[in-house]
Amino acid sequence: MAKLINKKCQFCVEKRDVIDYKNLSLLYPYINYFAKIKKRYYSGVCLRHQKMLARSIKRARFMGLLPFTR
Amino acid sequence: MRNYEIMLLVSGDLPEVEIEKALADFKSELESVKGEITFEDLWGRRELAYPIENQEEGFYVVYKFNIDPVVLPEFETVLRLKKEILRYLITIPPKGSTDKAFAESIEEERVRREAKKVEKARADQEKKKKEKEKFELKAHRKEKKMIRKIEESIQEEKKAQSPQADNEKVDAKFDEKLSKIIAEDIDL
Repeated sequence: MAKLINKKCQFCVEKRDVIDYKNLSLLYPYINYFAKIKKRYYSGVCLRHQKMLARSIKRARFMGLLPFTR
Repeated sequence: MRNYEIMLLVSGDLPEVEIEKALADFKSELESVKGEITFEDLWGRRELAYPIENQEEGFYVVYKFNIDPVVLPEFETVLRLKKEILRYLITIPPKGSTDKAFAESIEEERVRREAKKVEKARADQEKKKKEKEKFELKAHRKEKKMIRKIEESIQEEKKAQSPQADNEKVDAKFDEKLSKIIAEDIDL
């Protein structure tokens, strides 16, 4: 599991300022099989977007939209 | 007054009538603290990702409403005491958020993403085509060059060979003449 060199932050490419916790299709790629938040070391997300992503994933978990674990 | 967004998770065990009643109750409660709903989006029944209070299903609603931030904590306590509401989440809608049904906006985004993918694939194909053409052109030029070189070399060889051939011819003529003269000499 090596970091993919030259992998860009997908949210930066799309110039996204908001990551909505309701937009589940956006969040699914960033949780792993055990429904844990993927490290940005592996997903290539920048720090700013990783923080936004983590917040929205946690919100979605609280509302029962995403699982905590599997 | 400030705009907020709230997502309600109403117990899925209740029949539809009671859910409607709970939502009406929520609205009246909001009115009592001088709040007003600006946007409503009923998601409907959904399976929960994990059981909440031993329930596998829930009814999701999203509202946007204006309320005085001072009375918001008070309103929250009221919500917390309601049994039919399993969970709620109050957030400040981000700048530039639209009053669209969420399913709709997600669908729009999906379509946009697919369109982008298709565009990208097309661009990639065009790039590949161009590269292929370039490669072919290069190969063609190389071939031409090679042919030209070979032709030149052949011509050079010919040039190199031609004087020799001339010498041989001259030699042959000399030989003939010599043999003739010798023959005449013998005759004499």
